[in-house]
Amino acid sequence: MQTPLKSETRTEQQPGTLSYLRFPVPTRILHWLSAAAIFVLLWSGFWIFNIHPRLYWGEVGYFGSPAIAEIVADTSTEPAQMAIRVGDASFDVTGIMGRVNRQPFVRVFNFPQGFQYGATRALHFTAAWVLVVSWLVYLYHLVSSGRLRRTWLPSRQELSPANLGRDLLNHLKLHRPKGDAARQYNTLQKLSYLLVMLLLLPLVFLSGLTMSNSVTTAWPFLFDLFGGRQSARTMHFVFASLTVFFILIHVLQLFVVGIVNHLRAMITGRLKISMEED
Amino acid sequence: MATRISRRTLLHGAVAGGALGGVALSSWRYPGPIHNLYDVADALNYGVHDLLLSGQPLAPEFSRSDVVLDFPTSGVTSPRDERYQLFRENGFSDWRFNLVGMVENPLELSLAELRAMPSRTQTTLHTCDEGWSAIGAWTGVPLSHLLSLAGLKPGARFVVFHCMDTQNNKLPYYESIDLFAASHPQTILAYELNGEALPEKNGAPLRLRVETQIGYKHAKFVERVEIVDSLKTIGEGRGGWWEDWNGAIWYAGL
Repeated sequence: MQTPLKSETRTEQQPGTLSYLRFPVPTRILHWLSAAAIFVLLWSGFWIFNIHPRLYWGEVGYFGSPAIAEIVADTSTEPAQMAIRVGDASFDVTGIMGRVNRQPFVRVFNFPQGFQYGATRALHFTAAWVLVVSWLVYLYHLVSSGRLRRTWLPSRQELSPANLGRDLLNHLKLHRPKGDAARQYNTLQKLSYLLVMLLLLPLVFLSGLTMSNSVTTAWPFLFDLFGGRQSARTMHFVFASLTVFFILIHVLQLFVVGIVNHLRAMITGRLKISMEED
Repeated sequence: MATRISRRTLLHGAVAGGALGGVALSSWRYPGPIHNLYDVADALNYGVHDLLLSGQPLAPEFSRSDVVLDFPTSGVTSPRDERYQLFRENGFSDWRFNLVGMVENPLELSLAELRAMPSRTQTTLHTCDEGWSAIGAWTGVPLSHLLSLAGLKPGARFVVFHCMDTQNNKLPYYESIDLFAASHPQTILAYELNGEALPEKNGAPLRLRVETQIGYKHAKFVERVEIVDSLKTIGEGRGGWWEDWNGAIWYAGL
C-alpha cells in the first residue's frame, strides 16, 4: 500500500524511519508567535475579567443588574469563601481557588511592579495585534502556497461517515499513526484546525472588537451580530474558553503522537516517522 | 508560468502594501506619546480607528426608556476636597468653568451660562474599561461649540480636562483627547443625566462625554479645559491620570 517516496530520505541510523519536511518556515514562525500571543492574551484576559467577574446578556450589565454568571466572594474570611454561580447553579470553590487576594480570583501570577490594570489592558491589545497579524499572514501563506487545498481541505471521500467513524475510533484508542497515515493530517484533525482558524479565531476577534466604542460607532451591526456589548463580552469569554479547550486537546495529542518528535519538528521543520506497518 | 506567478506576486504585494501603508500612514499621525511597545500598539489602534471614524459617524443612540436610572460609577464618587464640597453646598452657584490655553478668547462661564448655551441630548451606552456598561441620557454643551467660541490658536492639538477630584496619589484627575475626538458631534460637556442635574457620583456639576471612547476618558468633576500643543507638560507627560499612574494607553477607543 506504500506509495513511492519522493523527496524524503530514509535515515541511515534508524532503518524503517524517515524524516521529512513537515512544517515549512512560515508555519513554524507563526505557530510560536501565535502561541506566545495566545498565552499573553489568556493571562491578561484573565486579569481583565477578574476586575469585573460577572457575565451578562444584552447591552447593559453592572454591579446591581442581574448577571447570568458570576464569581461571588466573601473576602471577610480567611481564606475567602468563593463560589461560582451560573444561572441557578452555585458551586463552592473555596477549596479549589485557595487563598485569595482582595480580588475574587486566585492570584496565580504575581506582578513584579504591582498590579496595574491599565497596563494589563495595554498588554492585551498589544498581544492581540501580534495574534491578528500572525493569523492574517498564516491564512495568506496557506492560500497562496496551495497548502490550504493540498493539506487542509478534506476530500469528499474523507468526509464519508465510514472514514469519520474510523478516525474517531483511532482517536479514542489513542492510536499513533504510522507510515503514510502519519504523513498527512487525519480528517478530524483537519476539521478541528479549520474550525479554529476559520471560525473560532474570527469570532474571538469580532466579539473583542464589539467591546470597543470606536469600532461599534463605525460598525453598529456588530451589536446585532452578538446581541449587545455585554453579550459580546460574554461570548468573548466563551470563545476564549473554547480556545483553551482546543489547546488542551492539542497538547494532549502531542503526548499520543510523540511530544519530542513533534516539538522538534515545529522547531527544525523535520518530522521522523516510522514506516513499519503494525 | 513565470510571468503568471510574478504578476500574482505583484498583485499580492500591492494589496498587502496598500493595506499596511494605509494603516502605517494613519498610525504615524498618532498624537499620543510613544514610550514603549504598548504605545506602538496603541498607535496602530489609533490608526485603524482613525480610518474607521474618518467620516465622524455617530455612536449608536438608544431609546430613552432603556436608561439606567441609578447610573453606576467608577473612580471617585464623592470628592473629599474642601473646595469641591463648598461648591456643592452652594449648588455650584459660585463655581466657574474655564477654557484656557492656546485660545484667542479664554472663557469663564457659570453653570447657568453653560445651561443657556446650545445643548445636545444623547442616549448612549457608557462602557467602563472594567467591563460594565449602562445606558444613560446625557445633556450638555457640545465641546466644539465652546472651542469655536474661544477660537483655537494655530498649533493647538489637544484638549486637556482638569478635574476637582483628588486621587489616591494626591493629584487631581486629568485626561486629554485630540481635536478630532473633541470635534465629534457627540462629544459634549454634560450637566444633566436622565433629565436631572448631574448627580455628584456621576461627576457634578460637569463631566465629559466622548462617546467614541471608553470610560476613563470621560472625566468627571471637570473645572478647567486647557488647549495645548503637546502633552509633555501635562502630569508625567502621558496625557492622563490612568496613563501616568496605571500604565493605561492614551488612545481609548477600545
